[in-house]
Amino acid sequence: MLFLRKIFFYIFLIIYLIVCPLIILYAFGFIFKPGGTTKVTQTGLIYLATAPTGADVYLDRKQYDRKTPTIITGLLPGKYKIILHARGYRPWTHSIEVKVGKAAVLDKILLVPLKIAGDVKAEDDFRDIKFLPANGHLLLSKENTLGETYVFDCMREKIWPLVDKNSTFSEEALNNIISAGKDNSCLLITENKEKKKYLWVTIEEEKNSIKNITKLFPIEPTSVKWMPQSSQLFALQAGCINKIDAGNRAIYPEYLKKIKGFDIHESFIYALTENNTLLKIASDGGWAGKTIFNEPAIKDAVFGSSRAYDVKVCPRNCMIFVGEKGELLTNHLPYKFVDNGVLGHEFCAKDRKILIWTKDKIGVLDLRTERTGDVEFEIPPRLKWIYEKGIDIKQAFWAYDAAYIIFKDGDKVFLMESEWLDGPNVRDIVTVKTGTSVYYTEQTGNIYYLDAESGELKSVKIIPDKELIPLSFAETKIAKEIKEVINVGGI
Amino acid sequence: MSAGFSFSRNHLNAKEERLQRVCEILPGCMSWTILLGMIALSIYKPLIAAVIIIAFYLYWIMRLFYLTIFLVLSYFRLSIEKKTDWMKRVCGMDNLEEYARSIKGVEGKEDLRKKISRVIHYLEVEKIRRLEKKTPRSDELYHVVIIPIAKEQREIVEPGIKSLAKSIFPTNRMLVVLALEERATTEVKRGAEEIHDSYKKCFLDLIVVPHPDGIIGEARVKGANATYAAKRAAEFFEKRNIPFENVICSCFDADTVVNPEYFAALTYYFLTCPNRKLASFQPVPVYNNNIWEAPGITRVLEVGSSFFQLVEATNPEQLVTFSSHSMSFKALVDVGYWPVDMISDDSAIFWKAFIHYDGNYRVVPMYTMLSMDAVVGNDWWDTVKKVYKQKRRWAWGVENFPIVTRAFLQNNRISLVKRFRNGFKLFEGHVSWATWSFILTIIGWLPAIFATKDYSQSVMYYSTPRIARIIFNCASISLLTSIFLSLRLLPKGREHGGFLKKLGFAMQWLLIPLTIVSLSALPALDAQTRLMFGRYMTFWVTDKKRK
Repeated sequence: MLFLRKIFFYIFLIIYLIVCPLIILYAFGFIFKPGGTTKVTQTGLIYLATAPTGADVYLDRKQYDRKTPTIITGLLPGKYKIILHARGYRPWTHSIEVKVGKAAVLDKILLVPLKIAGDVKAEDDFRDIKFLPANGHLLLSKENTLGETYVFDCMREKIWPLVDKNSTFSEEALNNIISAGKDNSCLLITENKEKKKYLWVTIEEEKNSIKNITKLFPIEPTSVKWMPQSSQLFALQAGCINKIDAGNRAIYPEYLKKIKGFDIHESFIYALTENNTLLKIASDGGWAGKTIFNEPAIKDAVFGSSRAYDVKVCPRNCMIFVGEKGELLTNHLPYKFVDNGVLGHEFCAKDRKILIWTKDKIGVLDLRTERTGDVEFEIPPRLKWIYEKGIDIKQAFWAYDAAYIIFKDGDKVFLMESEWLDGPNVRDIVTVKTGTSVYYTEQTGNIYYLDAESGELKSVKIIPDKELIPLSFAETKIAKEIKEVINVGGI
Repeated sequence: MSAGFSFSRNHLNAKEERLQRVCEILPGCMSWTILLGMIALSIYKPLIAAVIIIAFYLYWIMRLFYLTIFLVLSYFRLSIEKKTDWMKRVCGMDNLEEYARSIKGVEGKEDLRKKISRVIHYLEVEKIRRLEKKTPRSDELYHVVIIPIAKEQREIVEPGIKSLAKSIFPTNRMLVVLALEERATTEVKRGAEEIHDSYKKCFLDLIVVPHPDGIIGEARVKGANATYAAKRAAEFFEKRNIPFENVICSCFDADTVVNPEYFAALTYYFLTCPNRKLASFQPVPVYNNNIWEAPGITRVLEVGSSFFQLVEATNPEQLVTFSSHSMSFKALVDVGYWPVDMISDDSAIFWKAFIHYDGNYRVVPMYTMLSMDAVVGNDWWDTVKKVYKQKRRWAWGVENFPIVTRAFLQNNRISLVKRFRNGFKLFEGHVSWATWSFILTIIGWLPAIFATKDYSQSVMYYSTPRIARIIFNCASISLLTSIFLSLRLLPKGREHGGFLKKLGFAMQWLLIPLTIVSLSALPALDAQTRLMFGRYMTFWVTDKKRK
């Protein structure tokens, strides 16, 4: 047995010494290509993952034998044209560059259905749609009164009136909605016979509670922000922040004075003062606070161009300031990124990117700071305008883990990749009722909109539900269909 | 012979004490360095970590296949000896020449297994015949079985005694010594006395030797108890003029149950062993006494221990004694009995003899089984805790490393190759015990989890999981083999379990990733860490329970 053991030991040792380096080289992408000028070549790979899964893969017009998600290995460096196609979906094409030893990762590819037919969620003819992003509710109005406004729960797909028809608030016209952080509460600013009212609404299934807290707003506020998980509001009125306790109906006036803009984040108030100093103060007054930014040499240059700012404090050390003219600033050098025209922004905490839109452009401000390879040289935040053919862009949303952007330009809703190699690949999704908004939630992967003709609330699923077990498609039938689609698409 | 070396970490001079401490730190330090180093590499240099992990996985699968081959061969060897009439062989050895001729060939058809067994037997007999013209007569040989008892009650000990009484080897040449701790409870003492009264007449003698508590120089360890009892046994044999050379000593755990052929097999291996005084004899331990009462995690681990011994049996050059084993009583006396201040007395006695005889000491694997209890607690969690403690006690065998290293550094009479090989195996065995499972189950995935942007966009990032998947799929061959053999090792009999029960037993092997980390690697790391920090373990007697 001992002798046998020795023989096997040396056999296994030799096998290991031969196989191990080969496998490691293979893991690095080295392949053996007999007949070429260099027999051993290092390759790259492409990783493709689509939603939904199971798309056919064409590489330089040759069908690959696997469906997505898949890894295509052993690719010599260079450009490859990839076509992905799944039954009932539009083909997806892109050129991808493969580099030596590197993986070209395309793990967030959304396939758009050939025919997009929205699902009707509420059948009435609505004239407007507003959303409460905190809790996934929509407010749908048949008329511009609270009595003709309904609450739609996107998660449970239920609809109920905002107020009773007999309610004293039913004739109020809805002017504005200010949503709380993660609560089911919101502040409605209404108007009736030129008198404004401030209503604190708690959205509860089938029966909402409404409190009139108008007396707590003697002056119309420039902005109102909620303190999360409480009934406290902070309102910027005539340059002062007043603290309002909606539950106890109390005001704490002039909580902070001479303020140009503010935001609340994690129980702290971040306030930009009129002399362009940025302060951080505890919202319960228990801590005196500190000055975050007060550089005499530059603060006026940074914040001096506007008398009021919309301030947004985001996770991961990011602050966004939008001035009256639509200039966009952040707390990262060089501070000012857009001189004017910014209509909205959305922050992606995961990738530290800000989606910015103006009337005719959509851009991405990337705040990730990277070092270039081995050299200790920091790459600063950079703004890239990825779409500049807009006409009347009003809304934009991050979608699919910020891999895509959904935006509304005029009456159309489009889907676009946020990062691309050879063009943004903009695809139109739906046409909505003129003058209405759309709402997209990553939770359901749906776009909610009012149909252009019927005014019904409809939804379109952009992000398919994740499959437990990916299904495979019948291959012969697909092959035929693909040819037709490809020919029609002119690809 | 190395008479001057004291196999102990106590009573050392300053220089030896320093060396002892350095060697105590080494295994734990190496294990922690490997684990923390791999974690750090996975975070800061994931590419290098991935390369090391791939190389490790390949090494692991090669070694797994290598061990599986020998597990199968060893099991086959065990199975072909299952029906061997050992006593017949023992008696045949009394007429060596004639017997050798008689077993050379047989007339008529012979079953393949029997033929292989006979051929091996013939080769063993021929070998001893050439080396020694005459072996001791079988009727001159005696057995002494020492059973240390600390907490074990009668119901645990008695089945073992019963099994001894049923031995085919003449029990009137067996001395059974119940080595009873003075600090044992009244109930335990009463149980020992009752066993003494019931079974005394079955053997040459059955004596109960109370081991006084608090003897200076002794720790509260099983080895101290066994040594005290062995000295009483020596007096017994001296009184009756029985030479120690003719006595085979077995030190059994209190729950050890043997098959009727066991002592006949032991006698045979003793007789066919050249320089039988310079050898220990190691059977294959199984934990079948209460295997059906033990929870799945325990069963998988205990079967794993049996497999380990089966594989080790194929490499007798580096085999070390474990748990219940036997040796020449003369050798035991010569080396000074078991260490009285070490927990791992089973392995320590081997190293003690190895060093004493300048490396001319070995372990002879015996292809016969003896059965012990699997650890069972009051409930599942209690069982887990007890299993953990038992494995930690086994892993405490790392305490041998510093003593053996000191001995090897001092003793030039042992060849350098032998010293290096044995020392390395002792060190590597403990370090791999504490680290491999963590690398396989947890650390191997860290480069992907902590992937930097550069690494996540490399070919290696995607290749590593694919390669790992293929390797683990290949490992399933070994897993299936282990499941199959583990079912074969189970006790037979319908009352022990129908098909569903056996299927459940097989499915419990899927718990391996969890059990090897929590109840094998972790206790080993715990033991090495304690040794590293000088927190020497006190003896914890494994609680044996039968339901």
